[in-house]
Amino acid sequence: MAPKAEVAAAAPVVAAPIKKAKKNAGETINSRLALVMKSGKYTLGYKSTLKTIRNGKAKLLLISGNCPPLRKSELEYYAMLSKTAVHHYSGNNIDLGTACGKYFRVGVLSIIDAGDSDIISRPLE
Amino acid sequence: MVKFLKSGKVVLVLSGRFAGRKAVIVKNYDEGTGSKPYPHAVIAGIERYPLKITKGMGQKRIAKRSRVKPFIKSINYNHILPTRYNLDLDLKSVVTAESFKEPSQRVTSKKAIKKLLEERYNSGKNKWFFQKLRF
Repeated sequence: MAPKAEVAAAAPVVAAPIKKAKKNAGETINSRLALVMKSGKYTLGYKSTLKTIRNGKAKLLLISGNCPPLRKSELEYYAMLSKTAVHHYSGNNIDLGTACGKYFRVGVLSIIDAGDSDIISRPLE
Repeated sequence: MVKFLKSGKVVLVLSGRFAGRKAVIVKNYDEGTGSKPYPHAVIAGIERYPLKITKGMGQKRIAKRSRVKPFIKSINYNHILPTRYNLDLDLKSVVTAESFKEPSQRVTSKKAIKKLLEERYNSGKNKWFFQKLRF
């Protein structure tokens, strides 16, 4: 009886933190993005994000997982020059488009004003 | 967050006759002007890089191979790639809005830039700027 209770008590304690951490990280970027889409200012697409970086308005860059490596490096270099944060979204451009609530693919997006979201103030990793 | 396209920034030209050349921003217009309603910069760059010189060459040969042919251009931000390098050379007095009005003024501007650039090359500073970008 006692060992069984112990085992039962031990198992959920071990499982819960791991599950919660993964769930937190994966879900919250999408939910924060949804909040930005609703309340903040952003721009989608390579050309427009470069424009926002050049004029210093971009606060955060999100790059999809299947972005071509040359373009990814170029964006990282621009972000380094302008001291802008970059987040490599875990998912391809289709997923990023869906996360933005759009019906098209989004390879790169730039957040100009986060609105009510804490996506910029509280980085995930 | 930080604007980095300022005078003195070294950039690579991406398209046009001078594609692949290195240049330095002389004056940047983030908002554009009346006649050019897009963000652009006036740049001065190297059209023909100085040739490689070695220890065994004589003085005359070295002098001939250390010549730099410059260019000036007003170019859209979309057609340049900024780098982390800077070249502090006071070109504002040399290249002005006036320089682009007449071909003869272009020539005088370029002559002045040529002198400044060759001076800088011979002093041994900013080596990266005077090396051809291999691609």
